Amino acid sequence: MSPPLLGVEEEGQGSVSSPADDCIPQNGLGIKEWNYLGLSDFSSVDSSGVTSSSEDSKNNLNLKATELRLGLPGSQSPERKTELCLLNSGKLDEKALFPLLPSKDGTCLPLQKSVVTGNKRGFSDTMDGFSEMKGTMYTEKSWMFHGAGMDSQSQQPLSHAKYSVPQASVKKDWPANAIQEQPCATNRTNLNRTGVSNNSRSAPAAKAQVVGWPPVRSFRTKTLATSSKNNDEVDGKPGPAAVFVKVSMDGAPYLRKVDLGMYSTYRELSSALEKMFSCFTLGQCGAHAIPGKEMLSESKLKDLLHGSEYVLTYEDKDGDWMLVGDVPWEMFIETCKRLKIMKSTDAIGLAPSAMDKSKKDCQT
Amino acid sequence: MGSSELKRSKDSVSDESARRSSFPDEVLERVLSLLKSHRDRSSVSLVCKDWYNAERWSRTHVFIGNCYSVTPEIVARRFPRIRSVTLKGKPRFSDFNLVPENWGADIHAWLVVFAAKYPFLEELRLKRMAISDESLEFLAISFPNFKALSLLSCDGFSTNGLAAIATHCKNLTELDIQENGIDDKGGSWLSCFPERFMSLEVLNFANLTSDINFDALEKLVGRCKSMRVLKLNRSVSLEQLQRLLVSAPQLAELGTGSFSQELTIREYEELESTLSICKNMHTLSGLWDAKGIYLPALYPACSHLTFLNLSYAALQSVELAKLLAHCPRLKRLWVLDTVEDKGLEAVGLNCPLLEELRVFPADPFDDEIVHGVTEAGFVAVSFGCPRLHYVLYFCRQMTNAAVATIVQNCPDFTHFRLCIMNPGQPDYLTNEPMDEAFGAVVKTCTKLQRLSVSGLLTDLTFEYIGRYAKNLETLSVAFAGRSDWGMQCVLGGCSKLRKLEIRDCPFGNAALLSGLEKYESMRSLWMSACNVTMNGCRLLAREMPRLNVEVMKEDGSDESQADKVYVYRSIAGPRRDAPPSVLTL
Repeated sequence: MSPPLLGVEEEGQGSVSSPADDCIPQNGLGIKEWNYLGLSDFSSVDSSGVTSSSEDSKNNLNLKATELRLGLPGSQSPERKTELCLLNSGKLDEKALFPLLPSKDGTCLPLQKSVVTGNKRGFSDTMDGFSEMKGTMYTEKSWMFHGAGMDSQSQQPLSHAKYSVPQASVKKDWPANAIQEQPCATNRTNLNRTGVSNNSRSAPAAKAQVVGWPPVRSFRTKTLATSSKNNDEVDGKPGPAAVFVKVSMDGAPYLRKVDLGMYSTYRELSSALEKMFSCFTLGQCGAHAIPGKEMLSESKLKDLLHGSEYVLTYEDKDGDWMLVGDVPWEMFIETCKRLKIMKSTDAIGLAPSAMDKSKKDCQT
Repeated sequence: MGSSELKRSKDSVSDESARRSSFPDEVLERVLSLLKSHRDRSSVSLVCKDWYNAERWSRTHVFIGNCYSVTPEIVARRFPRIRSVTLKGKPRFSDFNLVPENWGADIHAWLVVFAAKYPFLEELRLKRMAISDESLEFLAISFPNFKALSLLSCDGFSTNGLAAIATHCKNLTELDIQENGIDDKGGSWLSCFPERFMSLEVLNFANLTSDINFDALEKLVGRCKSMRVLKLNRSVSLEQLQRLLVSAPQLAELGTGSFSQELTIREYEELESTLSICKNMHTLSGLWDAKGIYLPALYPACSHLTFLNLSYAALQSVELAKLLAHCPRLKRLWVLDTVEDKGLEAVGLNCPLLEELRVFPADPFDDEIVHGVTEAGFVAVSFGCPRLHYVLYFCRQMTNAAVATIVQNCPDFTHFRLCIMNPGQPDYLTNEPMDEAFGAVVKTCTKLQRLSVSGLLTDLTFEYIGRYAKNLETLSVAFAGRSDWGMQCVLGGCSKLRKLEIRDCPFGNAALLSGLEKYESMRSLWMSACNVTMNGCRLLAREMPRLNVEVMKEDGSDESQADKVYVYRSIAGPRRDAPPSVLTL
């Protein structure tokens, strides 16, 4: 069956605008009435943004593949355009390799189909709303860092900024919502109340930052935060401390987290990552996949990884991106802040101990 | 009194005095003392004066759902023989930082009255109260028979307060510290239990983070042969757990410490065999930082498990599936959404007796990581677990069709709490509001008592709720609705409504005031970030003198807006301990 990604393109060609159109009026209503997210001010802007870029998306199939890696907060238009160029070199395989859904069992097929539909809309909208309009808005420094006394839940494992795209996410379907920054779900500071346009608030981006949403008890969020942030704090207890870092892969729809403390060599880490991200290659996730298929996907990914289609890179404490494998493992664990599996073409210029900070690779 | 005697005494009494109770007071009290449910007791007390008196003299436990609805003096006057008190304080949204600090709900005034009127007090269970170390010390000293202390979501105290309890409460059987804002100053409090002390049955300090004196703990557990609940904190290692279990195989509820230490093969086997002796275990929790490879050690202990709390263990789907295969009797399951839909499929396959499922988000505020569960997982559980009646589900996508399927499979829901984490998100497939989802819930689940809604919702949802949710007692609403009409439907239609909490909805004064008479039959109403104004609140306060109307203002907000409104019935009158940010109207 054609991977959903291709489906995305088909849908994109045919009817990107229609879901968007459906969304807008409905959302227009909803947003304007609520207004507490200040969405009404965006809706009109966005609608134009959507329709115009939907044309673009029709023309460029490769855009869809790009959108999949929206997981990174750094994925702003400049970068995306760079991606486009690379993709335009005709790597159709990638589309086949990065369907949006993890599961391919029979039972999930109907779901898959329907989710795919959702995805399609989502991505086209994402692409539209995002790159066109939001791109301009968010290019400047629009990161809202947590902490700094904004609220008491500042112990989130945040090594990076978040921003919100309220209009996009309210209107779009899951993948878009999921991938883009959620307006209210993530950020939790001052609430913009109903009836008050909040555009005047924190200047460019940073839409509604919402206190106490999602409704998770502070105790729980603090506890989970410390558990995943155990990293540098040596407990002084027996056993390895957990070192959780995020792993992103170019083209994958979302990130994963790995505990570096669970491994003791680069090889272990690499094979674990292969397993983890093989589900992005053929829509398999975890050990529930049919063995044959899984092997196929894993080996395919291995080929990708080892056949230098992809390289594993990491961001160190200084914010530099380096190739993985150069320093001793223990030192690596201590300095690694996050991992990225990027295409080797992207990684050109990253010498093993490069201090290079090419913008296109270093968006965090 | 034999039944024939009863009959005779009944017949011999005239019609007038037949209205009086035929039983001597002692008998009536004895009978009524067997009544445990406080609602039944409330009903009983309304029958007649005799029954009112018999009830009040026979009552040993009092439950106060809102500490400001009544004063401790009034309670003490009515119920002279109380031994156990349950008190709840702050509005529930204080759990999510929506209530200002120093809002109130301080326990101390209550303790002072109790010390005078209930010197034989044995149990105190507090939820969302403010309690200081001084209060804890006062408690420990004032009640020689004190047995059980349970603190949930409280704040204002430190481990010094716990030390006072451990030091002075010679008859303590229960110390249950759960999810509080506690200032953890170290684990020495545990060493404060006297050497001869051995009555502890329940010890839960999973909340605390610092290391405790393990030696003291081991000795304590060894002495307390009746211990049935032990919930450790993260600082306790696997090896230490094993040593504790050796002295306490009778445990019914176990909360492990950290489950991730590096063990040798021998140590692992020891742990496994120790766990296998714990045949009484019906509740398992903790499992902090659980490493998948060690989970199999738990398998032998799981055969009688009815409650498995994995909400602090970020398990993957495969690990969960393997574990659940050993838990056929599971009735309650709490997990993190790291298990994903695949994990939930395993739930549906392995746990046919499941009644309660809670899926918490591992990264609720982190958008990049878009995992977690979807509607598919929920649907899978519903197919496999027809007895499901309590669900708390955090997800990032949902459809109306999925919810309709779910409630068709599980029509007995009493608690349906669905949180679609992106506010105002529609059905991601059809892009329609989620009205029909919740419509299906209220139409199908006639026993529904508690409902939390989310997603994009119009007034239609509330029309449905008002029309169908006739047993609904608690409703939580956020980022929903279109107009006052929505709230009016709920207030007008849900006859059994007791708690209504609303945030970020376009409901204004008209909606607020439509419930004028209703609020006296409810415990409380919370409205924040809605369209209610100060004038509306003042009007409400003026019209309904038996309601306390409190407004919490936020810095920099409009003078006329009522940012946060908390309305509750009270026979205690307006409270006098409100901080400056809270206006009592």
